[in-house]
Amino acid sequence: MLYDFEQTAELFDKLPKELRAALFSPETADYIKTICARHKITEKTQQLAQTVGNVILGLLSPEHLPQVLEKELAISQEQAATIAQEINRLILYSIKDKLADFYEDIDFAPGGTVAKIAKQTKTEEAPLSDDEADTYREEVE
Amino acid sequence: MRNYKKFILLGSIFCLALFLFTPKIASAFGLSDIWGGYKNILSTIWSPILGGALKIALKLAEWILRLALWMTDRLAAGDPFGISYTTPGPAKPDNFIIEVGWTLMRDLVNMCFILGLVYIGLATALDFGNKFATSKTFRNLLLIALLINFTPAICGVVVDIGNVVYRFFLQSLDFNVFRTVFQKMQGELSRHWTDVLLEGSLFMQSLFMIVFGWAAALLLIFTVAYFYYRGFRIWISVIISPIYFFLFIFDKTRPQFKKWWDHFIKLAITTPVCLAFFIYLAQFSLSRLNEVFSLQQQNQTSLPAQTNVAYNNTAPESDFIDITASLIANESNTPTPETSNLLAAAGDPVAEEESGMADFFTNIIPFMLPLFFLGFGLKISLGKQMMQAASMIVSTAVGIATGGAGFAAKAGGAAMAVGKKAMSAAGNAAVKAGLGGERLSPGQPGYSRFKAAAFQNPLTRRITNKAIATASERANDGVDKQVNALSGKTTATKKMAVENALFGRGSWEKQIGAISAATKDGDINELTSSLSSQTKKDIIRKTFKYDPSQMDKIKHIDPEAVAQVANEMRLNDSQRKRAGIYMSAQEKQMYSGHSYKDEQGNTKQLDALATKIMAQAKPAEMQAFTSDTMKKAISGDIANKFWNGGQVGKAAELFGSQFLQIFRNGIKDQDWYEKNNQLMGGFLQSTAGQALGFTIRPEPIKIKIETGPAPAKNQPKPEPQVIMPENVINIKDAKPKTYKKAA
Repeated sequence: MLYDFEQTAELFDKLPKELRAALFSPETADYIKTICARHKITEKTQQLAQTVGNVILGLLSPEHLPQVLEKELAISQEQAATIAQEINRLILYSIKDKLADFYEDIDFAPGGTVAKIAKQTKTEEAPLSDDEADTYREEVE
Repeated sequence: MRNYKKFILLGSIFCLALFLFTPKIASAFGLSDIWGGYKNILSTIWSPILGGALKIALKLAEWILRLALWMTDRLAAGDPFGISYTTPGPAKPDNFIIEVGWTLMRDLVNMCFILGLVYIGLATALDFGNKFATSKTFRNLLLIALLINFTPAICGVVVDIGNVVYRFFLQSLDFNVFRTVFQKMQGELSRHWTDVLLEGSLFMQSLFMIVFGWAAALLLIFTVAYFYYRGFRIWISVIISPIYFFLFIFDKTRPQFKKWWDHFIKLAITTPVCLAFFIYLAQFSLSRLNEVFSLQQQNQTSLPAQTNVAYNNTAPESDFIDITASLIANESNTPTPETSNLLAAAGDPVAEEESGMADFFTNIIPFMLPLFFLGFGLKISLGKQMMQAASMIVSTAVGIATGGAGFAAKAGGAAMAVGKKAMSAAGNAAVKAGLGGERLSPGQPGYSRFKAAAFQNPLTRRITNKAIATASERANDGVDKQVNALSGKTTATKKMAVENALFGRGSWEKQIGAISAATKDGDINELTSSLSSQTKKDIIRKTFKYDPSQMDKIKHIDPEAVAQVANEMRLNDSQRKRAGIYMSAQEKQMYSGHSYKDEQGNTKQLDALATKIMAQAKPAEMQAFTSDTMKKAISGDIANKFWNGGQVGKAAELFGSQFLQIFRNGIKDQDWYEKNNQLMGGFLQSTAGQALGFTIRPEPIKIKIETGPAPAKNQPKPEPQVIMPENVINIKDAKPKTYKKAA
């Protein structure tokens, strides 16, 4: 799915350095080419590359990647799941920390599968009372 | 022997008088024809001899000036000594000399305390003079017995105060502009030495230049020498300090301590700070001479090339070139582009003698101001010491000069023979290399090739390589020091280091250091974007001048400027190789023919070298690119033709949507990439950047048009049939593809 350039360009400018690099990295391009060749969908390289790009841009959650691949590439559910797993493992895993800013509840397991984890909630500590917070006392003359 | 000397003296005076008054005599008597012939004979015989003597004297002045500037640079680089001034210790950085001397002296003085106690006892018992202050003396003895173990530390505090203050004044010490001016003027004068006998003003100018060179050199040598001398004196003072501290105990000996202490304070603080302050003033006045002298400003308007050289320290040819070239031939007098401009602007100096004289003094006299500050500083700081040292040096120099004149003449002759032989050998090498079969002079076509071949001579090459290696090593050390100093600092600090650099090598090292530090820290893009193109050109010019091997560190800050400056300086192939910018004929062909459109929409041709630098930049090096360079690379089709995915990725990372927009519009079709850059074609086919519209244009649809067999006579011509390829949708039936926006 191709989005409007003006909007995506604006998103690109706001991306962290690592994600910018990943989006245009020759390694990413090579992985996409390899995946397409392995699954014999070379004619659909452009669509796959666009989909991966959308994930890195923060426009598509990795969780929904299999469904989108199935629809965009017109492939079977099993094949889409396998391709999504490979993409997660080969491309997205290395930038998971930065992607986590977009998709907080997604974990990129080492095996390549996307596992949903409970969102970490910070338990805010109750503010200390004035007496507890400051133990220093000035001598009163 | 005495008669022989008298004869030379009288002969010299006669010759001097003869050419100084020559023009006036000729016009007064109106015997121009006879005198003209006489003049020609005189000129033909004596001019080469006098010219040669002046050349040697100027060369000597230049060498002594070089020595002085080398010493100044050493002082500017840091403390003259690698070991501490005051801290005793067995190894560097502590001072092992003080360790040995002071320890011995302290132990000796410790023995004296027993004698001191005996003296106090006897003086009290015998009541010397009825006024011996026992308690006070005993208290002093105990105090000094304690302090005597810490005299290096006490002296160290005093010395450190002086060092901190004087280093502040000397932090940007750089007088290399003297050398630039000297060489410039020297080059100018030497152009007309064939008629030196008939040119009184030329002779005067040459003498003045010799005096100027020696004066500048001696003042700088005195100044630097003092700081070395001070170091030795401090060591000695620290070593003997236990004795003087011991003398503090007794009333009768205390004045000796005070005398020593006053001298030590003067040595450690007063004199160096005072001298450094005047050096600072001299340096400052040198950097703003054009504001001090209105005369100079007028001259700057009329002679832009020369004043530019004087104030920006951009010598016409690099030191590096000078050093290497002068090893095989005496080329310091070769006319340079700048001197040629100067001559063109000033007219023929032989015809315009008076104006030439005025120009000369106008250009050289302002440089006397910094010299005056230096001299005044030395006089104020050192007073009698300096005068004594100066008179000693001058008398020694005069003695050596007179006594060794004969030897110098012989040595000069021998040196000339050696030089001639070396030149001959180098020339033979060139002739053997098949370069036209004859020796060429500077300015003749093909001279650069001849010179390059001459460098193939093994001896010349060995000496040259050694000189180059030493210069390069020195530059690396200086740059490394600056990189360490500026690493981790803000971009603004680095920018200041680049822009506020003064003249000379030290400042250039600071500039290269700042750029290297920015590359290391990852803020090179911010730094290069904030620098003016003039500043960048200036750095590039200095790099070619001081150490071309450093060009790798800076060539990406402005590839086009690198090409421009290299062409302006007329660098030959060997110099380009040293700078890593040499291009073979094949490369020149490959990288030529690229042009870009400037902001006004004018098409501008890119130099092949600039194209090559942009094309071959590694992703890490591209960090130094400015957005202008990036635009030129895309507009000139350099990116499409030569870059790979890594370079595109780096440009996208650096310049964001600005790059995306421009590059996206210039993407070609698959056929084009197949023919010109398959790497880029492959990358664009599968890059995830396609989410941003980085898509290769589809191949143009090939339509076949069949007109059928030729029609028979009187038959209507059949309509041509358009055969569309398969899977091509008729444009009328095509519907625009719509994209759903993300929620």
